[in-house]
Amino acid sequence: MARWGLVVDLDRCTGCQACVIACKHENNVPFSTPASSAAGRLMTWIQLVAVEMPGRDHRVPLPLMCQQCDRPPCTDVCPTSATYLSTDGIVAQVYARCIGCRYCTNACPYVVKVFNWTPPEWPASMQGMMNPDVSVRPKGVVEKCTFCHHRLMIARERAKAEGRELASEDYVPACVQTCPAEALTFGDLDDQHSAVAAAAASPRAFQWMEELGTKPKVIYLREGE
Amino acid sequence: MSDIISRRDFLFYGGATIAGVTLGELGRRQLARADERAAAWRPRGVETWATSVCRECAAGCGVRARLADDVPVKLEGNPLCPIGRGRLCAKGQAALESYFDPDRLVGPARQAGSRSAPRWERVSWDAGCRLLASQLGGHGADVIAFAFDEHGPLADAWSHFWSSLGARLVWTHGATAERLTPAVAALTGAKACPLFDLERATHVLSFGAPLVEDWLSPVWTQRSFGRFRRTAGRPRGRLVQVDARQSLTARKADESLILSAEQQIVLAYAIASVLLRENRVNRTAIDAIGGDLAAFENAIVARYSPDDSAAATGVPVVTILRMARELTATPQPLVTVATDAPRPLVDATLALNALIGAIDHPGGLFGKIVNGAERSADAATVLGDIAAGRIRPRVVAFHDAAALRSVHAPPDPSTYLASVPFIVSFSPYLDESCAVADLVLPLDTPLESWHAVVPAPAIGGETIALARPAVARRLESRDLGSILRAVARAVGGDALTAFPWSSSEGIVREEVARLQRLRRGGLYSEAYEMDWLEQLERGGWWVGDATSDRDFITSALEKGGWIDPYFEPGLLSQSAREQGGLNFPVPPAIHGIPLAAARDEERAVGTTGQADAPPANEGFPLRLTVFTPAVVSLAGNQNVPGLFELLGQPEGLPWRPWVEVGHETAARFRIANGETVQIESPSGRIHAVAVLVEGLPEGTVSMAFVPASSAEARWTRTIDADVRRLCGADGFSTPCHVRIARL
Amino acid sequence: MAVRALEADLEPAHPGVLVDPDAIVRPVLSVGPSFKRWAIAMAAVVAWALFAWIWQLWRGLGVTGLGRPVYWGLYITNFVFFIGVSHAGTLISAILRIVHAEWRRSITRMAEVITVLVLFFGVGNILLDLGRPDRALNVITHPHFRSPLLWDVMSISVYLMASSIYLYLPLIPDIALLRDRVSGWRHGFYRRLALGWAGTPRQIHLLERAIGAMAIIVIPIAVSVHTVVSWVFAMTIQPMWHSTIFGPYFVVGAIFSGIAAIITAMVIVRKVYGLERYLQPVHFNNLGILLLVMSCLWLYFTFAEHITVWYGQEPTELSVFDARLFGRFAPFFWAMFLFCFVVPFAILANPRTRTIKGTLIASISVNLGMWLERFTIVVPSLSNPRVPIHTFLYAPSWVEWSLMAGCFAAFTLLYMGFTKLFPIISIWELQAAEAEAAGWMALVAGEGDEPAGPGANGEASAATEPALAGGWR
Repeated sequence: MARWGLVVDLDRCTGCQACVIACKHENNVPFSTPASSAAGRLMTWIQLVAVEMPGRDHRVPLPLMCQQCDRPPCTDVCPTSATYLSTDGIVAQVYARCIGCRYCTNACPYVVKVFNWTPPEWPASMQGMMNPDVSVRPKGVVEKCTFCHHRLMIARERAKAEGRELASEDYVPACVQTCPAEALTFGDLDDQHSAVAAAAASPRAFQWMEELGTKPKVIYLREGE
Repeated sequence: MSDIISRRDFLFYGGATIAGVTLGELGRRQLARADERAAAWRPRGVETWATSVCRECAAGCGVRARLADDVPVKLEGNPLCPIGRGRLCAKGQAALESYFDPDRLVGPARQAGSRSAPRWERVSWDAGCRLLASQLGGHGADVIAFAFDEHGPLADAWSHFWSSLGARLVWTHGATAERLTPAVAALTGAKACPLFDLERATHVLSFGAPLVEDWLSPVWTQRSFGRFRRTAGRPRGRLVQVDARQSLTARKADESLILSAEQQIVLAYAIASVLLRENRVNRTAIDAIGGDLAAFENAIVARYSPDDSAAATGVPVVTILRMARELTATPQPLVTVATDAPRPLVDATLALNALIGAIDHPGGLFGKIVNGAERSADAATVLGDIAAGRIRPRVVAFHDAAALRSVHAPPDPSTYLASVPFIVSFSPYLDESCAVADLVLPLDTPLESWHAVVPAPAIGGETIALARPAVARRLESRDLGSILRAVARAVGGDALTAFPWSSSEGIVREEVARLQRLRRGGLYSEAYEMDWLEQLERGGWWVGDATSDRDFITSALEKGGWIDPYFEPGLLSQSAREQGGLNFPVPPAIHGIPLAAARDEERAVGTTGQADAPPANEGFPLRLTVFTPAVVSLAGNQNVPGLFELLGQPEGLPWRPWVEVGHETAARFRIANGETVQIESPSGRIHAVAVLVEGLPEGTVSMAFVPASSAEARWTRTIDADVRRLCGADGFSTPCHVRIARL
Repeated sequence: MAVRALEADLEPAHPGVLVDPDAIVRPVLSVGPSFKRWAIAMAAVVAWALFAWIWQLWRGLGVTGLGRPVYWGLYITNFVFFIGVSHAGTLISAILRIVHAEWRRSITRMAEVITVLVLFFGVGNILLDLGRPDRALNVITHPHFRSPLLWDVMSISVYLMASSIYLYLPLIPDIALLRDRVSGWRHGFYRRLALGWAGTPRQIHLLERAIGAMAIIVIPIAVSVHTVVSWVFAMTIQPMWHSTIFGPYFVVGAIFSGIAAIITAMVIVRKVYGLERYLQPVHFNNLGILLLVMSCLWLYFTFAEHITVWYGQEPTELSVFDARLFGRFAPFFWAMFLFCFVVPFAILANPRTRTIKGTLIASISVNLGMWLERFTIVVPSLSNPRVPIHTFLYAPSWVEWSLMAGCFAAFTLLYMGFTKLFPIISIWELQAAEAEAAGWMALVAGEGDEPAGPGANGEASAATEPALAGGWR
């Protein structure tokens, strides 16, 4: 089984946020308004945060998305198993089972799970914009980055139809696909020959808050030599 | 003929008064109907992909639109496009929202009331074009046509149309290197656009160039930056950023210096003087080109001594020395500059590139001739002239809102354009240009359009991005070619003969046919195929796409463009050699900078005393630096919620323009982080959120420029803090001083 | 001397009070104008809260002041607070029963009713907080046993059942008493509930066995409930939630706020139903001492909790610590300190101020303080996450305040309703005590003091007979 992982090279990342919009469109994440974003209701599965890094004078932009922990603190606390570590190693969220208690959002040290405070709304003209592969979440449930899991499902089906094994290249999340600075590398961390495994083996690699023992599958490469 | 309001709408809005229908209201009413059709649920499933071209800036990246049952649901980069190589920036991604913009104009409409009391009427395309023609007839010389600066057959058709009428064409330049062309011509004699080989540079000294934000061709620059930083088998590129504020690029840099524009000029010349003084210039390279280096040395070495420059800039002498030495201690140094930097700074940085031997050197500075007419007229200047009453056009045409959205344009166009008798806007969006227009003739949005665009210059060969409409028209918009043709037909005479195309499709097809006849280059293809093509062309071979005309056109429009990858460096040095060597700039007198040597000179010629004059900014102690966040879209639609959410991140201030205040200044004025403050200049006042930042010198604040739209589009109207209200009549060309207070 | 000491020791808690069932039953069967006024007022608040709740169901939790990262606010604060108050009854009455504290007899029921009723509001606040209350049963149909929230569901359900039984068992003889005195629908109602109680010695024996067993069973359950509530926080790795002492800290806080709730309820019931004969200064004095002890214990835990964080200087913990003690939440924290320790300690440490009025003031103060404590535990940790994302100052919306007011009003209303259905003081237990005391009195009869007169002058009797303070047996 592949262990899907994402390597973010902070040296390459320019903080352009193309990934943020790509994710928003790909996953039908609703827009905010000035008021709702000020009230902490910005819906985003990936966002830029400014992080202090050793050896850097200034806080550097860092794209923050679900870290897809191998030992996720959020799944343990879910009272209904609505969030769980799937066999693909992706932390899944079953929207239809979620009761909206927001325990998982609070247990996550990265605060990357977001809650649908209100029913998702788009102007009528934008209804056609929805990605048919991704369900729109109702009000009152928690949602999060899924590594564009629907793309994995589609890639798997396509590979099956073509009578071959799924290759690492068949499956790329939307953020990785658009990254202009080529800062994001995605693939199977267990495949020793993959670019992502090579990047993850870099001496610059670190997992954010690894001291918490969450074992993220999102690996950052720090800036500098 | 005009269908002011349909019977159904009349019934629906029966109780409401119809007088004073705003443009947004008109659009929304019509749109509500269009959406009912769209909202009828149908199973989605058939996935197709269509090629298009991103038109959010001048870069011309290739786009692939993912369609679900012919409705676009996602944009991706076109992997065959040599500019974007399958990637898109945030603005490019957000372009999808423009297609679905709920406030898009549904079709042509004319102003039946006055601009102050608008009453919009829908008109037919025929009537709209005839109305424009009647206004244009015989007034050619009094017409000004504004458009965002793009190149290619469609832009040529636009200029062709207006030139044939005798109208004046004005372009709004994006952040492309074309703005630097005059400085390149001055140094090397080549009327060329500079190309910065960021990707292969090993050390970059950047004077305000927003490398990681929006510089030149953004996706191309971002990729180059990524590779500059990290490429296997090469040392990591080092970046030193000299900037007016702690920009994202400054934060990403290995070292950053915060200096005003004037101080940056001093620093650039100081580094040049150290290079000359310590004999660190790349003499081999300079001698190969030629140029009066000695005169340049004489001009700057005494004037910009490290001590004087250190005193003027606050940068320690050792740092200046180190910066100079670092530039020459690396195999492939490069000095970059912001495209909107003052001319003396551009001159200084280009001269620095010459001194370090970066001209026509890998990882350095190249040049590329840009075809097409001279496009020096700047929109902001022309708008300023109109505002000041220096010119009084009869008709103004806006291809898009870029001119009104430029940071240098005067704010509040509705006041200064009031004197223009007739304004037509071709923008498909409810934006600044529509807000002042008497007639709107909405163009197709990029996804609905035909494309034949010459991308903004980048290192590599000649490129033309081509595509047919990716999706069907959503509303009653038209393509540029058809509109201009209809107007030309109504005007008649020379105008009609000068505009032979019947539609944009015709223009694009003609262009593709021309490319096929060129017998060089080929269609967009995989990178290795392109390398192969380049090798062949270098060897004097040409492998044409041996297909029928029809197949060639289909294939070109599907693949997204044509490219001749053959690129020969050496244009700049060759041109300089032809003119007898490099023409080094004459260091300027810099306003407000106390350089000892310069003062001595001034004293000698008797111009002292100016520095002691009391500052004109009594009561306004803070110097304002204005910057444009990368998400501000000049060419495209600003009414895009996705982009407003990115505004101010990563500081966590989506949706709001902000003002950056240093900690000392904040303490002095008792301003807390995140507080709403009032910024006031002699010209006006605005409100913004204060963000406390590191590294901003005391006495300086910097403010994000997000153009406030007087239009009623639902998202842009929430942004009302337009920093342009603070500047005087001459825009930001002179330093603007403000005071700041908490509310 | 020895005899007198023994005498004092053996003094029954209700010296000479002849239990008058009529006096206790009378308010059960009659409804006065004041009751109606209060009931209408409370019902109005509840109706408003219902409107707010429907509004929230319709519009989603967006009508609250919550957001990212402050995902929990007033509702969870109220949940913890109510569960804490629920310790009032069962735990305290069970402990007092087990140690045979005679003075408990007139207050146990009052306390147990608080427990049962308030538990509903604890659970109710969780339901209010759910984004999808319609799916609440998923915790039963799709349980995930590693979730502390599920442990909560289980322990609270068990606690609710146990404390309901524990409330019901001692009610049976009193229900039978009422059954025998009324007719009409009430008769049928009581007849069913009395389960054929006839007061036979066998029945009495069984009942006492059952109550005794329940009193023991309910104590570990009660402790578990609040421990598990604390674990909802402590099991996460969030700064200043992830604490080993949270279990006992929450249990102490629960007992603390529980006692305060009982005292407050006692003062009101005493005044409203004229039960001065049964709720005497000795009760308030004793509970006041208990409250004082808990206040000191609370201070100890609070100090221990914070000193370790401060001394450790772990940055993420410290950011919450700073926000709580010196930052945005400092007003709440220091108000909590004032209300939970300074005020009650000052009043209760002095026997002169440990009067009914004094203990009432201290109790109200403690209830306010403990609510603030729950708030300063829930919100500051969430407001200071490890990741540097945009945070905002959480301010509860009108919906949240309305629902909170509705909970308190509904609790009051239900409590009032209970007093109109059942005697709020355990008649049979008082009678049993009387009988027991009579036996003792007979043993030591002779030169014994004349019992204090029954009646309204309870405070004076407390002042003149300090020996009554020692009610422990």
